Amino acid sequence: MANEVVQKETKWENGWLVWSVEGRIDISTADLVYQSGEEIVGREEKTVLDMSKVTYISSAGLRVLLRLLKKAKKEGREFTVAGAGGVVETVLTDSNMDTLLNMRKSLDEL
Amino acid sequence: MKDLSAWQDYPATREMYDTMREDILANAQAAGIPERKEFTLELGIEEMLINIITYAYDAPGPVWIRARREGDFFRLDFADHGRPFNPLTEERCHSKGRTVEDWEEGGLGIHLVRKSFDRIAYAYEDFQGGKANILSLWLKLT
Repeated sequence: MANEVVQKETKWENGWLVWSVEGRIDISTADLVYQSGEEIVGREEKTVLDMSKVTYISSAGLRVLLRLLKKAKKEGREFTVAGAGGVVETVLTDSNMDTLLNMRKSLDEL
Repeated sequence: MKDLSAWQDYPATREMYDTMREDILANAQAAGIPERKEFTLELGIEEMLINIITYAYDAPGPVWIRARREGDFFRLDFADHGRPFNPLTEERCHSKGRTVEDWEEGGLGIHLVRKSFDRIAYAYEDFQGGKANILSLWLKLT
């Protein structure tokens, strides 16, 4: 793919496990992002994906978010996203996934 | 840069996706696409090409691409000889008020493209020696 790299790290904030992804969530990186998210969502009560450094997201990325949300709901856990900006935020709102995910403007809103 | 002002064919395979994507972007930049429109263009490229690569053929087949300036628009055309499929008639459950269990994973790509491109058109007609799905996208350059 276009030499973009997904990087991730975790930290705790206000009772939520913050999972940060940087770069593109597209057809080339979606599986990798999902694998990481599946593991985190599967063990944590509350997970928030910090999207403040996500530069691009396509429907492949949206499907990752949807699958993680379905997994969390099924297992009685919480999953949301925060910090998406610019065109990434537009994709989330255009797809109505902002409402579905209860998207926050920033981690401060948790 | 491969000149896409006329139709060019590629194998519709995942391995060729990056090449097709880069060729289209290079042609768009040569046509003067503003940087703020590149995200939308990339989205259209990914959604349309990955759909063709994934669903058009049972055995590997070709995809034809044309990408050129058309007045104030950048026009992107995709054609394939795969099974007839009009993405514009797809209706999926992506509306507000639905529960997460009701949401379907499919159809999100075309939904995004319809929201962000200025015009989209589909035809199923004779092309390059066979019946073809032809999908066209227009993105305003200004």
